[in-house]
Amino acid sequence: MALELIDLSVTKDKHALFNVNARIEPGKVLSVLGASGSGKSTLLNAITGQLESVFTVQGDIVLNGKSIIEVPTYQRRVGVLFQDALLFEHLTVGENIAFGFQHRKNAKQSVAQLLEQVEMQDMQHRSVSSLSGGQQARVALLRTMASEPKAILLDEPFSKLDTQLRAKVREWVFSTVKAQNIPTIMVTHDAEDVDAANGDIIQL
Amino acid sequence: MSPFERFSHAVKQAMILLLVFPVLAGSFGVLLPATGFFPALGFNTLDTQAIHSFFATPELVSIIGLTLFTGLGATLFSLVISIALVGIVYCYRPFSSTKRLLAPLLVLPHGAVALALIFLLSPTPWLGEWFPYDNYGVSIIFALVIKEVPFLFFMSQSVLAQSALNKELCGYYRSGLSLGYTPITAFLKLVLPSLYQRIRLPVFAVLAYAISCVEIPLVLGSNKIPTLSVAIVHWFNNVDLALRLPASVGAIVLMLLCIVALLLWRGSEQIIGRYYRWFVLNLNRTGGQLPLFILGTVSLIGLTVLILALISFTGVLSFATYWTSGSVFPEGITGLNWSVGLAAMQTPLLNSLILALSTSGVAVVVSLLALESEVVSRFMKRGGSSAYEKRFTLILFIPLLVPGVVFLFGLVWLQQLVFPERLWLSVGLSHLIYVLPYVFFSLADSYRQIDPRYGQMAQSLGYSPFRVFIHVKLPLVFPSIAFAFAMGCAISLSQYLPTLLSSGGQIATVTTEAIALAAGSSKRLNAVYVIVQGLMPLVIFLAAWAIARAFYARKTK
Repeated sequence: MALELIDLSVTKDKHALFNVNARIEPGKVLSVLGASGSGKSTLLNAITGQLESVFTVQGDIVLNGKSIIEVPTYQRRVGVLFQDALLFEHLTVGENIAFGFQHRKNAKQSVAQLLEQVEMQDMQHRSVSSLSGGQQARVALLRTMASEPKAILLDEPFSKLDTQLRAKVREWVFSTVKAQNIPTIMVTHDAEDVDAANGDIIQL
Repeated sequence: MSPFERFSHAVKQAMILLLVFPVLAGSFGVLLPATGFFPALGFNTLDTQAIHSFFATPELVSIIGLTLFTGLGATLFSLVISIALVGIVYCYRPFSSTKRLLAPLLVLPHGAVALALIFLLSPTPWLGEWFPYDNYGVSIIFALVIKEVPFLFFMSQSVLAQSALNKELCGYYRSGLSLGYTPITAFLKLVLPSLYQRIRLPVFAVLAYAISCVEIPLVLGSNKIPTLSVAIVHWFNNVDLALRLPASVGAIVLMLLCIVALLLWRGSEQIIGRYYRWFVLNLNRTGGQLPLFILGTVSLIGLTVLILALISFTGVLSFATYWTSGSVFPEGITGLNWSVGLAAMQTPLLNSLILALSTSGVAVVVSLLALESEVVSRFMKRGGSSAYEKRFTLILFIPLLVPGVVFLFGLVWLQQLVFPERLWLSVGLSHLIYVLPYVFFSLADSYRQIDPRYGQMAQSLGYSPFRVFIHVKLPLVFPSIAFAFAMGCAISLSQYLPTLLSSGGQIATVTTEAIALAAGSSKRLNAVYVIVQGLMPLVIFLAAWAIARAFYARKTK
C-alpha cells in the first residue's frame, strides 16, 4: 500500500510552486518542511484533490499501484488530519467516529472498541465540546482510521497541543499508522515531529 | 464535477434569472403602454399622448416633491438614528442586550405599523395637524423611520458579526480608546467608515423603498396630495382602463425618481465624505460623543416605548366596545371584534400561511444551493472570482432597488400572457422575488463562514459532495436556516402590492384585507387584523428559535 508522488508539480499564475518526487512505504512517515508560503498545504490539497481553480497540477499520484490524480476527492481514500480536530459539534463522540465508517454493520460495537483503545470508553455519548484538546485529537484520528484510509496526510496536527500532550499524541499517531501499515505524509515546522517520524524528509 | 455540484451551479444560475428576468420583463411591460402601445385597450400606435396626459396631472410638482422629500427624509433620519443605536450598543455593554427590543418592529409588516400608528396617535388633538394625513409627509416619514431603523440596525449588526471584520474593527476601536478617544468618538472615527461601506446597498434599498412604498402613504398620506406610487396604484386600479397608460408613464417617472434620489444620495456621500475625513483627523477626542449618546439612548427608549404602546393600545382597541376620542380607556370590553374578525379571516389567514411557508421554503433551498455553488466555483475554472460574487450581490439587490410599482404591473401582464390561470404560481413567484434576497442574506454569512476543512475532512472520509452538504454543512448552519426561514415567512406575510396585483385581488391575505379595511371599516376590527399580522411572524420566529435550540440541546448534553 505505497503512496507515490511522481513528478508532482503545482503551478499558480505560471509560477511553479514545487516539483516533488517521493515514494512512501506502508507504515512510514514522510516529513515535509518549508517556510510559510512554500506550498506545504498546497501539496496536501493536491494529493487530496482539493486545489482551487487558480492552481494547475501536473504529474501523477499513485496509491496502491493505481493513479488517483483524476479520481474525485471522496473516492481517493486519503485521510486528512488538520491542526484543529474539526469534530462535528452536532454529533456526539461516538457519532463522530461512526461518521467515518464505510459500513453501518457493527458500527456501535466498533466505536466502543476503538474508544477503549484510547481509554475513552465512557465517553461515547458525550458532547465533543466537553473534550480536552488531547481527547479531541484522539477522536479525530479514530474517525479518520474508521474510514480505512489507504494513506493519511497530517497538516501540522500537533501544533496546537502543549508540549507534554504533543509528545503523547504524536507517539500514538505514529504507532497507529505503523501498526496499520498506512503510508503517511506529515507537514510540520517542528524538528521534534521530524525526529519522532524517523522517516524521509522533503524540503519545499 | 459531481452531479450535485452541477445541480447547485444550475440552481444559482436559475436564481439569477428569477431575480433579473421578472424585473426586466415587468419594467418592459410598462414601457410599451407608456409610449401609447396597449392593443388590449385599442391603442395600437406609439405616441406621446400618455406622456402629455401624465404631465398634465394637477399638483404633479407637489406629488413628485412629496415623494422625494419623504423618501430622502425617511432614509436620512433612519440612517442617523440607526448609527446612533449601533454606536451605543457597540460601545456600552449594558445596551447590547437591548437590541432584541427592536426585533418586533422588524417583523411587523409596513402596513400594520401604519395602521397601529393611526390607532395610537390619531385621536390626539395636538398632533392633529401633523398626524396623520398631513400634506407635508411628516406622518409618512415617521412611519417609514419606525420600520427602517430596525432594518438598518440589524443589517449593521449582521455586518459587525462577521468574525474577520469584527476582529479588525475591534482592534481599531481598542486602539482608538488607548489613544484617548471617548467610546462613541472612536466608533464614529474608526468603525463607522468601514461599517457604512458595507451597509451602503441596504441603505440604497431603504431609499428605493421609501420613494416607492405604497402601504404607508396609502394609509397615512394626505388625500389631497398623494405620493407618486399611491397615485400610480390609483390610476392602475381605476375603472377607466385608459388611465393605465399615464400610470405606466408614472411608473417610469418613479423609476427615474429613484435613480435621481440614489444619485443625490451618492453625491451627498462625496460631500459629506470630505467633511468626515476632516472630522476623523481633527484630533478632537470627544467629537460626537454626547449628541450621539443622547440620540441613541432617546431613540432606544422612544422606540421601546412606542413598540409597547402600539402593542398594548392596539390590543386594547381590539377588545373595545366603544372608545371615544380623548378617553383613556374604552367604554367596555368585548370579544365580538375577535370572533367576527377571526371568522372572516380564516381564508386570508390560510392563504397567508400557504404563501409564506412555500415561498420561504423554496427560497431557503435555492439560497443554500446557490451558496454551495460558490464553494464549487472556487474549484472550477469559471466563476468564483470576487468580482463575480460582487456582481451576484448586486443582482440580489435588484428587486429591492427597482420600485415594485414599476415592474409588478408589467409582470402581471407578462404572467397573464404566459400562465393566465395559475394564480397561486403568479403570486408565489412575485413573493419569491422579494423573499429570496432576504433569505439569502440571512444565510450567507454563516454558510460562508463554515470552515472549508470540514468539507475536506468529510470528503477524505469518503462522503460525496452531496452527502457532505446534507450531513455536515446543513447541521452546522441549522440555526441560521431556521432564522432565514422565519425571515422569509415574515417578508412574504408583509407583501401587499405583489399579492394584490398578481392575483387580481382573487387571493386575499391578512395584509391585503387589513389595508382594504383601513379605508372604512371599524378600527376595532382593523386592530384584530393588525394584531394577527404581527403575531404570525412572531410565532414563526419563536418556533424557529425553539427548534434551533432543541436541535443543539439534543446533541450537546
